[in-house]
Amino acid sequence: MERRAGRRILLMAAASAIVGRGHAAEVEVRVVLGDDGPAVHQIRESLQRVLKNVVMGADVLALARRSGPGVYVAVGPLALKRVLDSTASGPVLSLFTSRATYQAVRDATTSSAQRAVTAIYAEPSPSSQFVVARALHGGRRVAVGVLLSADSAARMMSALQRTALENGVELQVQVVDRGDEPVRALNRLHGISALVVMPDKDLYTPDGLRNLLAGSYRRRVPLIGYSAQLATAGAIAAPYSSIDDIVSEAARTIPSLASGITPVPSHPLYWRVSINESVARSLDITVDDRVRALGNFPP
Amino acid sequence: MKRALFFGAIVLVEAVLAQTDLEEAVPTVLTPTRLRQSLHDVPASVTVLTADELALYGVRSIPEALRLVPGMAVLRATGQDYRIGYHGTNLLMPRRMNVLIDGVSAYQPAFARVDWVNLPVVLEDVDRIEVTRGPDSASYGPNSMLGVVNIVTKHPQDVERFHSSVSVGSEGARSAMVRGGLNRGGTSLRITAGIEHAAGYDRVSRDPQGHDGTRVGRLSARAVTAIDEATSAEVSASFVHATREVPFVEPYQASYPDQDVHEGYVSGKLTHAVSGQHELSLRANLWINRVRQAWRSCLPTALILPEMFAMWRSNPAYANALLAGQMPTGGSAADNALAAAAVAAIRRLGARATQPTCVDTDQNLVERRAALELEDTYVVSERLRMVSGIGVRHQEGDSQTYLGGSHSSSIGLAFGHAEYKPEAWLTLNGGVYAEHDSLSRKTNVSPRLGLNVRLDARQSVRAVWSTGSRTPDVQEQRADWSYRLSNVTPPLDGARFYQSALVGGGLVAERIRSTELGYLFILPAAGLLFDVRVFEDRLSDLISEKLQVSSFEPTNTGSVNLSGVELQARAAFGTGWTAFGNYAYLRTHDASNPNERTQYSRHSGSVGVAHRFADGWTGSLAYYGASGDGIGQSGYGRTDATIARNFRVGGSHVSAALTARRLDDKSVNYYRDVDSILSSTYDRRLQILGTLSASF
Repeated sequence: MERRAGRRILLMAAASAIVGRGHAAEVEVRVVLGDDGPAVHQIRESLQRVLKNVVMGADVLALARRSGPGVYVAVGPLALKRVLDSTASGPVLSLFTSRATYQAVRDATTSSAQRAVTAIYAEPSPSSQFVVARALHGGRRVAVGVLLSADSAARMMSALQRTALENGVELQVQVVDRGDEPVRALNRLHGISALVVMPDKDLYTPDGLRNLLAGSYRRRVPLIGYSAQLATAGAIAAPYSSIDDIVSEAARTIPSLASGITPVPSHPLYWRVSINESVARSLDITVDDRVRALGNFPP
Repeated sequence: MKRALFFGAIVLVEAVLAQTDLEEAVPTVLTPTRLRQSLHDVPASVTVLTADELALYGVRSIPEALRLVPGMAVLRATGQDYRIGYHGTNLLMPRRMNVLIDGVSAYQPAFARVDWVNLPVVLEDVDRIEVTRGPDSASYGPNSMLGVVNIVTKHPQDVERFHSSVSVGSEGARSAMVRGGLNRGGTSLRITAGIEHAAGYDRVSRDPQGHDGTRVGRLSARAVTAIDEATSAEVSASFVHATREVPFVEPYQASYPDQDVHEGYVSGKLTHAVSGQHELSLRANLWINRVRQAWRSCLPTALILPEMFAMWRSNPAYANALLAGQMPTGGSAADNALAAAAVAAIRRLGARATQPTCVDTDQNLVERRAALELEDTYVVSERLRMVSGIGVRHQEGDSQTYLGGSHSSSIGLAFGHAEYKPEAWLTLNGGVYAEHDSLSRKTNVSPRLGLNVRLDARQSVRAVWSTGSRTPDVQEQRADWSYRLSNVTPPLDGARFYQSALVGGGLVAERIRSTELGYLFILPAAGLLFDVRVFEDRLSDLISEKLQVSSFEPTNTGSVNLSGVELQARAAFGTGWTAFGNYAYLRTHDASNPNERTQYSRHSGSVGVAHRFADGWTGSLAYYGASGDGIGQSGYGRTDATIARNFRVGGSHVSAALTARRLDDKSVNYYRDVDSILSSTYDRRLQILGTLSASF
């Protein structure tokens, strides 16, 4: 995962060098929004603050009728589907959509295969989750458990194993059969120091996540989540990307798209950590400033 | 394609709600009321034994698991008789430690004991065992005098849909269990059935055949249901049927006094979260224990004369003198009249007086306890957390032999505990438990104060002053102990075993005052936990006397002082390596009655190392030892080696484990009475146990 991020930085730098700022500034950034809501308001403000030459709206067709080249930025899965279903041409950057949902929307949209589409996923990379798991245990090599649905396992297993190796964690993966409950699968993870949870709609419902939070706590196994909300709900910690983190990276990705280079979809480059101090204290896990300062921050 | 479109539709629906695709509404699960205290903030020394750890080291019973607790004295006197107590003291009747199963006390209130062999819980249902080492009456009430063993079972949500296990080993050890787990809507249910058989020792002092085996069947269930977002209900029930072989106790017994035990409990708990900071819970439980123990004895007829029974009631010394062929003196006029009647009755028997007459008798008993308790947990702020509650408990003993009928007591109780953190590095704990007992008509108050200071993020020190108590049981307060006889052959009118005991109460609670200094160090980088405890305990008002039908004179005149040091350490190092070590140094001094020195080890401890290999293999090695310095007590040492493999067979997860145990000594010796030391012996030092389990 980190190799992809590194490659993306090089591509973005190369694009900037080839195209030059002036050309990139000429490309209009057309931000397609889903529905209205407090999160979208925050995203809108951040985009307007960081990007130049931005227009926003929910009506894709209206944006597509605008003259001149444009890079489409889809905020959320609903917006992504609208853009891919539309006749709008121009490269597409998906933001605030998880990897699984992004892939599902792409698969469902036959026309997207011909378009330049990329994404900055909503969830943090497994690499960052492994970094957090290890940091919570003083940097020592630890055994980390991951629950995956069969489909996710098929898609992610080899990459996960590679990432675990790179980050110095011993990985135990338990594939959870359809209809089985994730909390029960914890019985088959032995001697793990942390449970890393990745978004997987085939596996987790809100009830299932709730049971998993309670079940892992009962076992005194800290849970590393994938969003700040999960940390608030009871995960001991979660790497996450703030809206500004995502938008900062988007600002660096858009010139590449404008120049005809389509970066590989990947997890966010910039991230930080949300810690549930109460849960950490209850589990007797030391959280020092080094852990709180973990992350990769925009320049 | 269809599936992708369907998935896309789901995504679209969710996208209306979740603008960024990750904002699924997961309510806060671990609210402040549900979070446990950090070990650094707990005003006590706690040892936690997890199910994983017990499986890793091949531990196959709860009594044996307690050997992993520093300072815990564990003696298996016979196959069905465990004498377990934190810091030991009186081996004859260990009764100063409370045992809870999911918060319900397994302490038998009428006859002051914990029945270790037929605890109503299957080992595979145990999630962890939390042992509070030291008085914890402030939290758990009387009978938590020396410590508390809290057995926490697996939440119904956490168990597999199906799990089964079979064990076979030497010494006739066989067990099997099966468990089902079910989640439907907001309800999760766990049902377990298990059967266990053990042959016990090969020889015991009073029986060269051993005859101390056990057969225990258990059926238990636990259900948790979410009534709404803020309210949940939990119901647990457990039933045990056990047959316990009991070796001959005295020379006249013609048949074994085996026990047939039926025990069960039902418990309900309703929890309502008033807010994330405030939670109420109402708990009720009913516990019933019925023991059937009958046997046939053939004893000299003179011992069952009704005149001798009356003589003993009036003056036991007179009765013993008459049976020794002497004419007693020094008693009252009534004693002399009864003595004359007894002598006349013996003379009327003639030669039959010394000939055996066979009788049936029993030690049947029924104990019942019903309890209701309301608990209020309120997290005022990050600095202040309070738990308080009130409750009532009614307990009853019913036995013609022990009580001459039935007696009961009612208890009203109240408790409160506060944890206050004026600074992030300082925690003050204060608590008190008070209960009024109708039998003694006294109110016992057990306060506790603790000060925990965090030296830095990894280490803390604590100073704790606590008190505890043990309420005398129904038999100690109201004993009317005598043996009614039936099927007398040859017949004898009014036959009654001559010895009896009758007390009228007046006992007060045993007390302990404990002072402790502790140090805790947790280093995640090394997976290390290290805890040391220095303590000084003063036990007073002890009922130290051996209580038997021939001598039942309980007083509160006993006392003993205990002091020492305990260490416990856990470490995880490398990848897959774990180790533990426990050591206790105990000094028992100023014992007013030698019985308080009958279970005592100056040095005791355990050490173990385990490794998780690739492909699901695990291996472990452990040693358990105790110096055995009590009167008549032998030392104990045992080495265990366990190897196991976890693997998949089709859709099932299978585990196979083999444990080899080597005893340092085939025999254990223990105190029974003055000039009476008993011994129980295995034929072989080496014992093997294999376990196969499967789940899906």
